[in-house]
Amino acid sequence: MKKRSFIYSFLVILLGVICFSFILKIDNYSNNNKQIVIPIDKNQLIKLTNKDDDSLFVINFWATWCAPCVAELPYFNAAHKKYNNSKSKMSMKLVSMDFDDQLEKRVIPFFQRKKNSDYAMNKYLITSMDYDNWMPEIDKGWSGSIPATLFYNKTKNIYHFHEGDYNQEELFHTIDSLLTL
Amino acid sequence: MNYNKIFISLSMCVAVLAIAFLFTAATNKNGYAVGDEAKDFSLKNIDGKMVSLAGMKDAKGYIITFTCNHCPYAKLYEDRLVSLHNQYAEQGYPVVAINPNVLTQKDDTFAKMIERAAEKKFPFVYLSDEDQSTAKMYGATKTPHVYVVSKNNEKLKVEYIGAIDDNARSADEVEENYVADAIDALLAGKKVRKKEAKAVGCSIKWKK
Repeated sequence: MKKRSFIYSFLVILLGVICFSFILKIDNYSNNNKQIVIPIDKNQLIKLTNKDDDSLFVINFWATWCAPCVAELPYFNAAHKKYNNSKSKMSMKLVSMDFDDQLEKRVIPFFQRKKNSDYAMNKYLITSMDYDNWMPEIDKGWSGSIPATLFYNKTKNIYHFHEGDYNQEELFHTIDSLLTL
Repeated sequence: MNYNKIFISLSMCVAVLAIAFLFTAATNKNGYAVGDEAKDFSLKNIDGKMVSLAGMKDAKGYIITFTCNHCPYAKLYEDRLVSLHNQYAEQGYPVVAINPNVLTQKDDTFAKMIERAAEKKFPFVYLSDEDQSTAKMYGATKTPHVYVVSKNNEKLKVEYIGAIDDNARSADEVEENYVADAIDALLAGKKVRKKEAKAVGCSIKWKK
């Protein structure tokens, strides 16, 4: 009898631990938060940086391993929330420079974290690692450091490339001034 | 209302602003281009001694590499820098590693540089660019960022700027060894074919 109740209580505890770990997991990675990060190659990226729509495209290059990139992403999220409407006509895209084998391991989990789960802009990962072939097509002066951000509107002939990070004020100011052109 | 006038003045505004942007982009570009004469510097090595290029008497040139401890991309290239030095130092092209993040990144302090160099058994000098003046003079923006410099009659000339090779992830999958190819050409008295190559890197954290 004693042995049996021991086994029962053991099972109950085990079940409890399993349930608890599930709750923790759901808390960290909310299940209904299906984050999509699209892998693209250099040709698709170059298309992305040459759209003809009358919209201000803001394309941020970042990586999960790049601390200043991760630090400035919340400002880009805030800008997306503020300016992504029919009035401002701004379209934001995040392009991850992580290696493609990190897509499932680090990039998607990054956006599944609770604090990053409301990043609603389009997210990509560039798979072409022949940087020397495509970086100059994005901007001739780009040395390759990240963070880097491209702003453009083809119909309004706006083009601005910034190598380096932003604080929220600088980012909002840049977008504001480009939207009023 | 004369719409034509409004349109013209608007497009003028856009043009002026576009030019202004271009101009700021152009003036931000300082530092060396390929072909420029490079200047020497004097920086503290991890052994505590001051090092300058002129002090390396037998050198025919230098593989000046802005790098650091903390950056994952710089880490991917540590072993390759060691091989480059082992291959080319004897032929007159030593690696000169310079860390511009000494005061701005917690993993890049002078003490941490000494640690990392010991762990990886760096055979080359690892210099502290504490005030970032050397990185600024060369125009380095990221780590790793390489300047291959040749020396002729004590004159230093920038021969190549950019990435070490074309595959950061894996040394085995490299197709083009930009730095090695540049030095091979220089040692053979030939022209460097590929003078610049882009690659990803961690931006140097500048002092505010």
